[in-house]
Amino acid sequence: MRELFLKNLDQEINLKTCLAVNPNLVLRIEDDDCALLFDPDRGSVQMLNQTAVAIWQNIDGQRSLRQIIEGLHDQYKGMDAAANQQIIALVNGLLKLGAIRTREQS
Amino acid sequence: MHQKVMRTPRKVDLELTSRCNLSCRYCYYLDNQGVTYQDLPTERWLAFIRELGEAMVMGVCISGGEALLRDDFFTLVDAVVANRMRFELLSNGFALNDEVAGLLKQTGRCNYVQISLDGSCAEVHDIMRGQGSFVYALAAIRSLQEAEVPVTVRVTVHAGNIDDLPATARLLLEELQLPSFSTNAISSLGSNAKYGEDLFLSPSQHLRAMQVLADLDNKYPGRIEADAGPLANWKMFHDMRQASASGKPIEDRGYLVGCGCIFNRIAVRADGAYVPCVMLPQLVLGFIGENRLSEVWQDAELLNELRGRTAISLDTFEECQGCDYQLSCTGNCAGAALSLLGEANRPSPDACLRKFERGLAKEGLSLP
Repeated sequence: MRELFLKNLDQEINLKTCLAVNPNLVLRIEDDDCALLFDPDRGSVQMLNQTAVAIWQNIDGQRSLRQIIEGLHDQYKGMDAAANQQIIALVNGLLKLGAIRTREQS
Repeated sequence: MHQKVMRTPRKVDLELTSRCNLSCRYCYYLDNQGVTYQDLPTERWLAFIRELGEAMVMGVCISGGEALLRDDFFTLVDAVVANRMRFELLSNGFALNDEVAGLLKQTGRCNYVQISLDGSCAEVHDIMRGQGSFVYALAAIRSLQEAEVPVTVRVTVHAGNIDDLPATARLLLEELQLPSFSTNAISSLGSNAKYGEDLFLSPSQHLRAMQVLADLDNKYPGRIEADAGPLANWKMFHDMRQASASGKPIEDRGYLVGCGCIFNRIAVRADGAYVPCVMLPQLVLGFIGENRLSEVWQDAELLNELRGRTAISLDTFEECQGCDYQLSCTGNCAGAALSLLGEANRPSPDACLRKFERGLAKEGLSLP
């Protein structure tokens, strides 16, 4: 898993990095299929899929990236390496959006 | 026709006060039967705004009355900001000076302020809104522009300002360089009942307003907006007539689908009553502080009945029988239907194309 992350993550973070959500953002669960991430300062809205919502909900400012991944594997049995790729891509996307930060940044 | 209902509304209309410094002859807000016009104390609103934040509501539309008449206006706006929401403000501009515009800017969360302005000069604007109201509406627009707060204008079209619409558009879009403005027409709600039918546009006046606004729409492409009133009807009627002539009805029409707000927003009156929409102020769904927003949103029987209107086919209504436009019609606004017919889940005659054509025919006219 370590190699995979180092290859895919754009930012200077590793599996030990703790992640925190941007507290200024609002996650709106619209219904079972749709969630919106709303930035009230910018007035922007991003649509999140179920995996991104699960990632968001596992980020608590305390857990490391590894623990978050492990938490997701516990939560959703049968996840494979392909799912890891998807998680990494989504974490990258959330970082780029400024929706999540490393704990140091927070 | 079935639309999903989200867990909580995305937006909430807050009528913060029932007080207004004006008494416009066509006010949709005042003089509605069955509506209690009283204001809530600051604490009640603050508690509700906190609840909105907890419910992940994204924005509020603040209106009244004239919301800026509340001494605690910025206390409430600060609470909106603190609870991670954005807002817009509908105002007549009376209390909106440079200082207020600056404070609105400082919030960093104001989508826009909408100023009501019905003409290019006091002589026209003040007909319906009262003497002196033009001067401060215009001053408010300039204060907002100076403070770089996004500003738009709502022009209510009536018999006394149709000929002035080109000058109004010139003032707003050229002189003041607003990106856009919107138009509507006098609604069947509120104060107009006191003043009689003469406030409404006759079919020939409506047609003239349509043509003037259509010309302006060509001159200023995309800069004149309309969800209701002559310009909206002009476009809607054109599409309906084209669909009828081609024999290809407009998709997803032919049912009572003219009202979409009830699926993503809700309104709260100045007295704290939840209502489905500001255009349906008589339909009380509960009260803030007594009923949770999420419960009202999900469970209020009246609201769910209204949502069910999208499954009601227009062919079930006697007045729609034999209408060539039935399959391309939306049934129009539920609020207008309630105020005109006493029943929200009926097609409203206020924007009925067949009725409009018949009215024109009586005056020897027809749609071009």
